[in-house]
Amino acid sequence: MADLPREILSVENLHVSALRGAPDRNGEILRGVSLVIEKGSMTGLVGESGSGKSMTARAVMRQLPLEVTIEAGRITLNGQNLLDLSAEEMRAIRGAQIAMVFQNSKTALHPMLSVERQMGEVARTHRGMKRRKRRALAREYLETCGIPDPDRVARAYPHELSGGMAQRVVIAMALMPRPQLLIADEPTTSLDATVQRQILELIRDLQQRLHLSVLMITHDLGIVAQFCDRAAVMNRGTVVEQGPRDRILTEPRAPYTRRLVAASRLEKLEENPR
Amino acid sequence: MTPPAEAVEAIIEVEHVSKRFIGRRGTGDVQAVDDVSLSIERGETLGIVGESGSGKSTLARIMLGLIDADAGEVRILGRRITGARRKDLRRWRADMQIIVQNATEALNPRMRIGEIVAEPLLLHTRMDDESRTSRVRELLKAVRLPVRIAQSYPHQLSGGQQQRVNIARAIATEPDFVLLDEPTSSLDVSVRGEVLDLLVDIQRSSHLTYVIISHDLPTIRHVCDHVAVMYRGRIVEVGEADQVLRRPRHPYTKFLLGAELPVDPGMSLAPQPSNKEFDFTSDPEWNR
Repeated sequence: MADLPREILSVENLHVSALRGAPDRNGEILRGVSLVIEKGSMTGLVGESGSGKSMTARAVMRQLPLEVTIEAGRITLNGQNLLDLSAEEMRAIRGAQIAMVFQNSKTALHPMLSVERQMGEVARTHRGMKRRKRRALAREYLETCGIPDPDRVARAYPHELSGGMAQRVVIAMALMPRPQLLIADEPTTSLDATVQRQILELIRDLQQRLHLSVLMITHDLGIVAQFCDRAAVMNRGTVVEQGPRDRILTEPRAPYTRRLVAASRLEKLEENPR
Repeated sequence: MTPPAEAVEAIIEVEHVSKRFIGRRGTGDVQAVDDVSLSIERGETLGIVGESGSGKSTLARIMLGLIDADAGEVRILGRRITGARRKDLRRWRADMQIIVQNATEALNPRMRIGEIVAEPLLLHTRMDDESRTSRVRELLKAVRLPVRIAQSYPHQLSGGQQQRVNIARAIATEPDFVLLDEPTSSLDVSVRGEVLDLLVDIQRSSHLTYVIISHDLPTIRHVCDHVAVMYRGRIVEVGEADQVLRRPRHPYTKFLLGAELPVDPGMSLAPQPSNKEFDFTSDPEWNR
């Protein structure tokens, strides 16, 4: 099953628990999560706060908080079970094969180093490049990520960047090792709507041009409707429903998905008063 | 811009209000609010939309007398808020309340819910203990919380319940005007609708006037009858909600509405209209 060529990542029956957490679920944070990401697709992982979206992503990266442990399940990347890997083997996959970008891009950047310096470090670690090549590569990636003035941004420090610009830099950095899978955890939640749309269009464009697979974690069904191919809906530690985007949004089967879709379309509620 | 109506009863009047923040070394001054005028009638719900840095929160604070304007005048219920004495403002606050974005931070973690809701009554009324307790009970019922929650502490409540407590506290002194600064943006979508419906119900039963600041267009569409769009300290467009949201005139309003992501996959996004007329990408002040 894991070797089906169409999927790049599959999570099967993942159970994760914490000593002190999720009091309503006996400390169980993830209760049998199963999730498939098809190669070259953009999958939206949606749910409300506390549903386990980010914890699923952190389990895939094997970067769970100390007090949180994986109890059971498989996480297969290209046919390889990531849970069997040693810490060192996992380090070779993180960043290189699976990259991740987060909500607050400013905190993802080192405040005291220029953009160029931070990007150069990625180029050295992951691609073993010499200084001159590193500089050229950084500019190339900044330009690919829609930064009109890569020279200026390369020399800038994070505090000089707007939120949208910082997110572009972080995306450029994440792509430098040429990963196959990009996990974007609420990448536009702290941005203004007009900037959000630009960043999402950038991710969509890069995904298609570079044949990336993207897991887009979001609480916003609008993002799923407009930018994703597939959707998986999480509630209280499990994936309640997954499938092609249109099917999920127009004919949701799980009661929770139905409620979520209705709540997201506030204007529809007005027409059917409670 | 539509002129203020013939004022049936303008409960809030904002006239040519401006506010400039002096920048520190290296950063220029910011004209946060730039010659803003508004008139809001009793029972109306005005939504103020705009992106971060547009000046909407500064305008809100000036309206409540939390900060003073550099120029212009705000009158609420005929009282001059701008330039008012602190003592007067404190007294008037019973009639003008605020609900802020972060429901959790607005509640004192060491006070029980009952005490929190009773506090404005202690400050603004001379109720005896008994009638205050029964008023608190009444308020909790009005926001559809179980009365026993009065014994709980804020951390024991969900985000939606906490925002209901904030609403109960805000309406405790029967204000005429409530300002809501991003009332739903810290809430999950499944509770957003409930909180908004509650706000509408309360407004209908007590003839409240709301000003709602939000960047969430569904929220604005759901509850507002009038909308003002702010951009760089100015109101670029104001009018009836239907008019502004369905047939926007100003290019910035069109740009803002164009960024909305409909939940319906059948509705494709229109290409973003040009932002040349208000180019912000080259402006370092923008989207900080």
